[in-house]
Amino acid sequence: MKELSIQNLSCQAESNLILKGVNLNIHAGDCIALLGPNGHGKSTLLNTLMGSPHYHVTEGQAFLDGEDILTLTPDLRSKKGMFLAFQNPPDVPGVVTMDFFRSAINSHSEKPISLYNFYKETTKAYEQVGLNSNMASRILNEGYSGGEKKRNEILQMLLLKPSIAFLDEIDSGLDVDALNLIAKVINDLRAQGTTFIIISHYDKLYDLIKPNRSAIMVDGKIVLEGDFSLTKKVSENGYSFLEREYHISIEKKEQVSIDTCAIKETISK
Amino acid sequence: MTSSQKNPYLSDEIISTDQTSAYLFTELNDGEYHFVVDETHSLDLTLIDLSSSKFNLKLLIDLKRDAHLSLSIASFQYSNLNKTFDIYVKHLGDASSSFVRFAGINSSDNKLTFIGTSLIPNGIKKVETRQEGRINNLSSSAKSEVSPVLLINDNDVKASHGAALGAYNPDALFYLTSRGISREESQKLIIKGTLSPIINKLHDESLIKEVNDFFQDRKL
Ligand SMILES: Nc1ncnc2c1ncn2[C@@H]1O[C@H](COP(=O)(O)OP(=O)(O)O)[C@@H](O)[C@H]1O
Ligand SMILES: [Mg+2]
Repeated sequence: MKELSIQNLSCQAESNLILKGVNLNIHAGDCIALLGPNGHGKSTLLNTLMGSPHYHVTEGQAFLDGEDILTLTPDLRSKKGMFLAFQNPPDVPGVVTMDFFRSAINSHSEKPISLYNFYKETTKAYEQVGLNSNMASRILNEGYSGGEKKRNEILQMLLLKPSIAFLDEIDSGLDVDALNLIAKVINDLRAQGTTFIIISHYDKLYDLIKPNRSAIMVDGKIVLEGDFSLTKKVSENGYSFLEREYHISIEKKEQVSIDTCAIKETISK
Repeated sequence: MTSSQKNPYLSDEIISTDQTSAYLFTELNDGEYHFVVDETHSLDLTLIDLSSSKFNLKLLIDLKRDAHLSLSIASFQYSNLNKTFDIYVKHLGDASSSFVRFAGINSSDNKLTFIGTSLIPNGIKKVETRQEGRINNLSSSAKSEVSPVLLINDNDVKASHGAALGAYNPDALFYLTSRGISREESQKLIIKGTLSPIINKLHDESLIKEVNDFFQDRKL
């Protein structure tokens, strides 16, 4: 991918308006820290981009290299190179992890993967995320611990090699060793050209991967963009400076009283 | 005795040799059948239902002393007609055991019902009974019911049961499709995964192939 351009994206779930005109341009090679207080729409943005059935787009577009992806089913978005690591991966009753991996890999290639290559690739990926490969014979996500679920998400990213990956709180509930492993995987993929949007509440992960951009979401909009220093500022001071310095109220209100364009200019200097 | 058959004619039976039978049904009718497993013998019975028929199938199975039953049922409900499996196991002799498991997929707007009952009369000792029922719904309007019933009148019994209804879960389908797998293929993964442990008990390669082809060719 060269560019993902999100334009005035609005969506609702169960008649609640959640995204209220998101604008964000992502360029190849970007790694964006998507910041913002709880409940302001970060996960909703990533899930809507991936095509979750819970969200209904009411306005706006998202163009991946010029093509509006919002009309595509999730499987087609995946085939275009998009990937979402879920905040809460659901149990998939009946489906054995290994069968799922094989279908996922095969859906991304012309001809089915050979047994040998499948074994080789999955074994290596399990190693890279520090999971025992005998988990492949278990039912997908069923009874996985929180940490195992997160590692299993990263493992799928390794198998599918997306061109743009959305990681939703991939580090919550991980111990330090797991965090280091995952940061290494992210950095390796970044070096190979994968673009990232990463939601996290801890600066540890951000410190390990050093995103080149930050974007803060408040009440369903991107209200502020900046470079890595903005991520550091948030992790040190929280979000109260938004109100103090930019008059952006972080109470969820109908209207956020700020001209976001003006802010972007200030920040990017 | 081991056999795999397609659409066999069911009838009352007294099992007095050890028997392993697996049946594939592409049509199935209402009926009530009475099996008796004789002392020290075992019946390992597998029923796979791919029919689009309406039926209420009742199996009454009596277990005598030291008789053993393993009953596995897989059912795929995709028709506009209701299906009911009603299994009633009576432990009439000491040291008898039964293991009944039911796996169902309901992709219809109609009913798939599994009722499994184990009766252990007073004074019957050292009985072991286990029941597992699971139905995964693939449509939001599917109506499924799993009811395991243990009627136990003696305390020298090992009994367990588990029932699970997998409600239609759009999150699971979204998850699978978000990895590039089409909606149709995702549903087939769920169907195969749920039913295949029982389908594999068919043993007969050509019947297993027939079942796999059935799912492969299906438009969901
Ligand atoms: N499926 C849904 N149905 C109804 N409300 C939802 C749904 N998903 C999210 N919301 C609501 O939208 C808001 C934003 O949620 P979310 O995107 O998860 O926030 P964040 O990831 O920033 O913490 C919250 O108020 C949440 O309750
Ligand atoms: Mg979230």
